[in-house]
Amino acid sequence: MRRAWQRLLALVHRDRIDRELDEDVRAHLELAERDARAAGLSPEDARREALLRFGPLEAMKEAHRDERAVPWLENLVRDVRYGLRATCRTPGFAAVVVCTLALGIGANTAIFSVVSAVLLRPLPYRDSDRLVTIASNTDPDMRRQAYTALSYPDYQDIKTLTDAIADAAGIRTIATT
Amino acid sequence: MVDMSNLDMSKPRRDIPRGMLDLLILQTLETMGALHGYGIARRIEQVAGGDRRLSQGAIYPALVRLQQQGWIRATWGTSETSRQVKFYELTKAGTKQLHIEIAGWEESTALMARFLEAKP
Repeated sequence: MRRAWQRLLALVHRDRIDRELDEDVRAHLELAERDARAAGLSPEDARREALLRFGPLEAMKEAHRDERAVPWLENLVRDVRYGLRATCRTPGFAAVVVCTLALGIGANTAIFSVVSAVLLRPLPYRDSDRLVTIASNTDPDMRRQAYTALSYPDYQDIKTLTDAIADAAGIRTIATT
Repeated sequence: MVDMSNLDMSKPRRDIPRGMLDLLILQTLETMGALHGYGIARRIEQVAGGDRRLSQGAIYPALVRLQQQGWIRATWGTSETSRQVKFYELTKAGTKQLHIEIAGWEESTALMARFLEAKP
């Protein structure tokens, strides 16, 4: 818990921590160089020896960053910053991208609202999953589906006589385009 | 004396496992009191003898880890080359942790020793 908090803090103080690490490393190399020269190495050799003993510097910094913070979050922050900077550099392109996105999202939302109302949401009636439409097929061989409305007496029979149908109401369909 | 044996590339340099490095650092700080990074690295090298498996830089990620866990703390001081540098020292929690880790190590090594000596 304590570490999780510290790691988040480290994200905020990233620059300061990096600076302090650099200070530490500089002091370290200086001391190592001094010791190597005291042992009789030439200044160049001492410098080389110090670096060699220290090991790969960039790998260490990488490990340091991974250790102290939340690497994926740090990368995310960096990527977002980079993205914003890049966007500000090319405002025309950015505007086109924003418009494209806006149109795309808008069109999707519009179509989805229709689909949702027509196909996905149940009809706004009680027991809407038990609703059926009844029509009569006028094709004498019953091969084609030529539906037409029921006659009023048929409707009355269905309403009163059929057990399978709890209640019935007449509707009239209008062809629309 | 600076010896150049670590320039010998024929022996691959394996990293010290991180748990072990933490323990080495904590133990070093308990024995020596406050030290800067270079001091810690040198001390570990000296105690380890000729075995130079440690890149000195490897202690810095470990130091930040230990600091975040609250086991060591850093204060600013002046190095022998009169540079501002961080000195690390054990905290109370760190001392406690050190003893826990030592106990853990002793248990593991005792177990390992029993296994290696076990007769069929």
